[in-house]
Amino acid sequence: MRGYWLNKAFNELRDPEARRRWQSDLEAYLGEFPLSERERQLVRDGDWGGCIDAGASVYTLTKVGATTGVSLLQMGAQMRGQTMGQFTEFLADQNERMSRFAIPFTVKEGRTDG
Amino acid sequence: MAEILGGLGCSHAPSIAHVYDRKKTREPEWQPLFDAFDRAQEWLMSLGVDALVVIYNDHVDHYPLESWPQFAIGVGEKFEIADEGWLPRDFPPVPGHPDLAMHLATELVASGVDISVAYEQVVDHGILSPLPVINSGWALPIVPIEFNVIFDPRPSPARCWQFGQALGEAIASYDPASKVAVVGTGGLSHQLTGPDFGRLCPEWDREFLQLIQDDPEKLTAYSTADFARLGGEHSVEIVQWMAMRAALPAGSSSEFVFYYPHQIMGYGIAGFRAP
Repeated sequence: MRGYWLNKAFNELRDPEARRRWQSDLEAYLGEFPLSERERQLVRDGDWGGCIDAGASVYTLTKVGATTGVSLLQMGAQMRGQTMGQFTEFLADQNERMSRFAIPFTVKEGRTDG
Repeated sequence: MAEILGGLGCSHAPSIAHVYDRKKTREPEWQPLFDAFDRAQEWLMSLGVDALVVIYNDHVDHYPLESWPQFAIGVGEKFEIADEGWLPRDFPPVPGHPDLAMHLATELVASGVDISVAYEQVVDHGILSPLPVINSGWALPIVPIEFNVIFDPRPSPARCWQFGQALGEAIASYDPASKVAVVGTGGLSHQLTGPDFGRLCPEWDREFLQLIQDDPEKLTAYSTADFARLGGEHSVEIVQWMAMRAALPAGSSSEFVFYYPHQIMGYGIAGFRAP
């Protein structure tokens, strides 16, 4: 698996004790894993897109979000190269554009609901 | 022969849990989704089944990164709630159905589907996002079945369809007095990485919903890469809907459908009734 040790370092954060270690001393926490200096720098920089490019899964990255208080949407804005404000605006616009595709709860003909 | 009475496909986005836990389900932006879940639950409970077989994907919350399975089934008596980083959600453990689960494991392996068996496991949002709104109060026990849709190599959509067919046969060979519904969670379109983070693909979602209702086997012609291109990288979990659909008896048909593309998720819910 590409980025295995990044994923491992991130996924250990399911444990509240690991979250405390990250929060109190990030360098020491990262030192627990055989990460490359480049990988360590991506984490120090909070370069979430860089972590993904290095092989991290978004599903382990969300545990970093839970530990550091960075939301998935904030990570997403960074990956898009946008401010949170710009991303929120994009989403509001997308909601508008998408609404015509919605399908209300539709029971098939000849069926009775419930 | 145990009877499969119906199937349900539904999204499992963490946002469903977030909105539910913060009691925002009746806010205008979320009401359409939660009204639809209410009607889906009412229908599911009206079937009169005594267990739900739930096909989902774990997000590295139970199954270990260190030894990641392709397919796995939970045979425990109960499933504790996962800590995905924010401490576990405030729910009691979900009841399992060890007897049915072990029967399914045995029959699946006998039929050539070499599934891993979890004797103890926690469940994450792949199950827990929708479960409180489709199986409120844990009215029914569940048998969790996990698919690898995260780490390569991954089983193909065609293989997931075959899995569903084998699962349907395995359920049918269980205790004749049992009645079961099959649930597949995940999707629809979403992209959670890169410059397209948050992009939705509603045209594809609607095509997928049409296919899963009317011509589901056609979906076996798509590859994982096709699904990623059409619906976003993280939409490939729709293979769990395919397996649910394949498990249903021949002649099963669409009962209801709902689609709500909103924020970073194409939310879908669809019900299927056995003939």
